[in-house]
Amino acid sequence: MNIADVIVMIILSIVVILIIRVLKKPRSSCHGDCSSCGSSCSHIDWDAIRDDIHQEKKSR
Amino acid sequence: MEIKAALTGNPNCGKTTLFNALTGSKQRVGNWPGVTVEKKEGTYKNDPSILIQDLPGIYSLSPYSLEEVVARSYLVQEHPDVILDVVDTSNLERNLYLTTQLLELDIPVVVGLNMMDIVEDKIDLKKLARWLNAPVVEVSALKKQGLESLMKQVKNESAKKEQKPFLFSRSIEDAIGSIQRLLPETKQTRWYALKVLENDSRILEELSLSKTDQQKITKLREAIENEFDDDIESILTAQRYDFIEKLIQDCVKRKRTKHAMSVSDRIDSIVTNRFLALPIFVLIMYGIYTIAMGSTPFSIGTIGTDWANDVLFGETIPGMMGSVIQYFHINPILASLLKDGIVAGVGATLGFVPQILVLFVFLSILEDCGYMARVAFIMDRLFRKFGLSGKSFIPLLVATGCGVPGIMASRTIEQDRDRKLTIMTTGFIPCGAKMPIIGLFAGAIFGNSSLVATSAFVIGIAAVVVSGIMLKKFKAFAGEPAPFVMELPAYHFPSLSNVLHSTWERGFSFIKRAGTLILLSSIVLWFLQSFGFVNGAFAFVDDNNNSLLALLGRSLAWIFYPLGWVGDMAWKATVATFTGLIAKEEVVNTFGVLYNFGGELSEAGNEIWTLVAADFSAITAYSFMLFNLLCAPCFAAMGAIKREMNNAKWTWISIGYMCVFAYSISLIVYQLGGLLLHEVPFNFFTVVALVLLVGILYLLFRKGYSEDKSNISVKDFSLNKVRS
Repeated sequence: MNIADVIVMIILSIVVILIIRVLKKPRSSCHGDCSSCGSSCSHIDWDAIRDDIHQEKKSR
Repeated sequence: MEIKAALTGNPNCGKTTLFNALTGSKQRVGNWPGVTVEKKEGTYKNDPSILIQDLPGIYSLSPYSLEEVVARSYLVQEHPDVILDVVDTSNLERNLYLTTQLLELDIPVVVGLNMMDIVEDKIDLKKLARWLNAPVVEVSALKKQGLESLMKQVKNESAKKEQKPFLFSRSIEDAIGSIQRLLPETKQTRWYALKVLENDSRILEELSLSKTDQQKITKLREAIENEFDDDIESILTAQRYDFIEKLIQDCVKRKRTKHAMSVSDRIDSIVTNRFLALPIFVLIMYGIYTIAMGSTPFSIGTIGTDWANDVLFGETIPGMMGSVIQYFHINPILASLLKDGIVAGVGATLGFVPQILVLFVFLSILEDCGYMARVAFIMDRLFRKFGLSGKSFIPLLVATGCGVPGIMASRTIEQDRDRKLTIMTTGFIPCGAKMPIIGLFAGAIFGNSSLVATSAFVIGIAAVVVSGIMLKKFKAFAGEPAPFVMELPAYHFPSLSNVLHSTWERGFSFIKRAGTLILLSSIVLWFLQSFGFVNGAFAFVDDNNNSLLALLGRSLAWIFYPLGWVGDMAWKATVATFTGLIAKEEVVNTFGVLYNFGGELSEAGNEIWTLVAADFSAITAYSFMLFNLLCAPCFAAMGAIKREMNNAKWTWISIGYMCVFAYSISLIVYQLGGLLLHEVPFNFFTVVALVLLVGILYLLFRKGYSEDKSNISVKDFSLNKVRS
């Protein structure tokens, strides 16, 4: 193994670490890329709203 | 001091476009209603003290849909400092109805008249502002004009803290005043009084008024209803529209505005025609796929991909890599990782970027010009015949880019059963990540025929329809579809910035994934296929058929034997299918790594396609492609299903259903298609395929579940009458 091999391995390790950090980085706001987000933008209880609307329609 | 401004307006009036222009955000913009499903926050880029909330589009503050509940809840409970009401000038009457209601919230309102450039009427902004008691600013969200004066007004109005409302007739104003005196002192007493007068059950429940007060309010309401001889909601609505009519007569000088709509109407008479609509849609998609993935001289996507695969990732980059490896005498194992792992895998995926970008450009053009909204309308007509609603089609349209926002878009479907059905079938639509799979086989085996991609799209829609019909016959999904009301935006020339922005947004997501997840997976795959047990010892292997990956693949390949995955390609196809669960692009990445293993650099370029073509017959390739297009989606989409279903049982049912459906269809296509083409002999699995086909036909045509409403007896009825 020569110095070039060591450099290649170091570069690859840095790239892998950076990729893992990017993938694991928590998102604070919507950045438009849903596929890598995990829909952390969802803050609304949609089931509760649906129940509410059904009750409203029934009462009418 | 922070100023909170809420962006409200009708669906499709340009709120999100304005939001993106003001905040520099990249929120998704679509030319059909329902794209924004939740509130989104951002700060004004020229003044970070102004916080802007983009809300879903609503027609009124009466909450009959989920989006209206979300928007109203925010406005009433969070009480922003200013409401920025975006009005679509081409539809002034309808848009101003919401404005009259917003004025009742006692929150300063600033009206932004959007799309003035496409309207030929002359509007006196000063008069309009006097009528509304609110500043009116002309803006163009698309061209980013008028934004500074708009935000200047927002800042000025935020200091006011109150808003003069629109006034009803004398008797109604007296009733509102009487009700206000009965209510607790709050910031929005007038709004609450109006809602109580309208008999809004949600507000009545919230206020918990005494019986005496409720009786007084009922008397007031009845008096008004007797005076106007109508129900209270209709009376208030009529008075608002009367006000709007007078306002428009005073402030708007009508020119011949029918021109834009009449052109739209003429186009719609053809593209939404009862008989021509679907064939036109299929033809348009065929045209797009031909330009993106076909083999004609106009197929610019294919020209780009061919260059990327043959030249860039076939010669240039491997050549440069080879030179670097030789020059620095890099270790052969590391060299293999770089060449056969990273470059081969990532290169195989990135090679399809030209096709994907071209496809997204055309989909964005269709979206931006207004045609995609028509597609939802066209599909509603078809879907309704099978018990589905056009509202279920909008998530499918969104899923053509990525399945995750498509699945998330289903949350605005009110009926639980329709929502579950939509979530379960959204994964059938070929998303951007599945395009490389289609592109690989179309290029390697089917001579770049655009019929491959078109058929994949049509089969995706057919899978949704077939699943819808089958599942609707089960009790869990049975019932009439919800009504679907949608505004069709006027046709207009697509904006270059919108199209480029939308294309880049989707394309960049693909490229980013290639540079992160795919790159990582390439390294792992390379390791697993480069090492194995040779003569009992763990070592670097010459033939990847002896690798760890081959061992893993073969342990599971038997599952896919009936689909024609046999021989050496079986474990490769199996591994590719399973890695596709990480991200669908992985399928191509995996083939890139597996078929490039130990390959010599060739002057002719990338030989992966030739090797793939040698391992897959046409029928096996199509069966493999169908399985990967229809089966369980990627982990990100599965996570979205889990969140939207909010139920472990239904999550597993959804994923299980997609896998079983995909397996069945692939089996039928391979066995019966292969039999017809004389490629597959009659065998046990041919019988299984026939049984499955009969089963699907039975599920399609059998009588479904229906509630038996005929069992109420006369005795029961008369007893109930006595009780009430």
